[in-house]
Amino acid sequence: MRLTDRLGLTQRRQAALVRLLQLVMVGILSVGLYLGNAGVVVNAGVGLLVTQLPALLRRNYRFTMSVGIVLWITVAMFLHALGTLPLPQLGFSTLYRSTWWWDHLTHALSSSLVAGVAYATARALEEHSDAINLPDRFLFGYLLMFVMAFGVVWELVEFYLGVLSHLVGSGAILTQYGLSDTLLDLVYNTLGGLLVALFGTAYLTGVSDELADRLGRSPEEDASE
Amino acid sequence: MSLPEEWFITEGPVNAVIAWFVTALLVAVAVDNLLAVRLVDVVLAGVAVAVAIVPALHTRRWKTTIPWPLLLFASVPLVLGAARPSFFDLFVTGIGLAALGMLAVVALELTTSVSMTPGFAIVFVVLATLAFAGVWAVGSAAAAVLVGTSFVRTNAELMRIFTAALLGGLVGGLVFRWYFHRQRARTAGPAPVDPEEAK
Repeated sequence: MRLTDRLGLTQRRQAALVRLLQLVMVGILSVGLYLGNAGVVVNAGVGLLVTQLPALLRRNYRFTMSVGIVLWITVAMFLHALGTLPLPQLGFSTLYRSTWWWDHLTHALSSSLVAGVAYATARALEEHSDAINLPDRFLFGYLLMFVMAFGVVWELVEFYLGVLSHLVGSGAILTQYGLSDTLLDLVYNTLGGLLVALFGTAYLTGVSDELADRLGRSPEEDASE
Repeated sequence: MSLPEEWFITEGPVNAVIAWFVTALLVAVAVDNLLAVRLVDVVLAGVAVAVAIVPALHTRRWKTTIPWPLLLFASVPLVLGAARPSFFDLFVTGIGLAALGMLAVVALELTTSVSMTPGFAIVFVVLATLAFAGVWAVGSAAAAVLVGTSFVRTNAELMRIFTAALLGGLVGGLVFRWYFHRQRARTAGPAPVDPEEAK
């Protein structure tokens, strides 16, 4: 039984929830603009763009993802954007700064998305090409490796954005809180990746099948559309 | 086309003698590190020994080995990792890790049903280099807390190491891309081509 069924989340409710979360993110973006807070604007803006990706893929490439996966993406982006917003209840501090586990939550959730992308593309390539064979045990390790590698790159992006914003004298867009925090980020990334590698792959076969289908198509077929 | 193992394996007796000598050194390094409980180096040396002996085990001929310069280069992380490293050392270590990763792919292809295209293998080794840096960082930090070994003190220092790993991995990947390109050009030339491969 699927998790969403157990929670009583019908497809319709999931779609509605996606819309609601996107709407709240627009709200967060507006507040960010009003406050002139670059961090909030960039994170909510980029997050919103990412939540638009499934719709974009459907429109331009007829690539449909199940609404559950769209919800998964949206929740991850929403929690991240929410975390950067100064909240009156917290004395205008952000959830990232005031709540110790917020960072870990969003890292695990975002890295589960990364693992999802890694799984779907690897499976799709395997189905698409006879030269690629990735047994399950290898794929398990590959997912964890991919998530760790992506986490390292992400930390570098955070670091160099910080250096850059320091140089141009703007407010921080992404914040690194120090050495132990960086290391904990990597640990929680791995946790998110591990959850996907253990339990999530069944949910992703639809995406990987569709992707393989796209890869398998010859250029002529594409041109005739 | 799957990554052809022949690109990484030679048959010459001179090469074999040198490669086995390097392998013996690697075994010694592995044992030494094991006795000193330097886990990262034990793993690196262990993987290097494994990739060195797999071709010979697979073909049951002692003369079938990895080209010794490649094996030596894949052992670089063991040598440079020990000293207090400069950025350049770290960068070269990253390239060495990418080389070790590629040899690990070859060993996996020989011993398991894993197979990948040259392009996939290149992406794989770049990712593996970065992932190794990440696992090393988490592991070393844990060891520093638990058993009091040394570890970097600031985030900036760690980022320097990650940057070197990223650059080293990418350069390693590019070198392999160039090498594969050359190999392909060579096999597509006058050499006899397997009809199955030519399709």
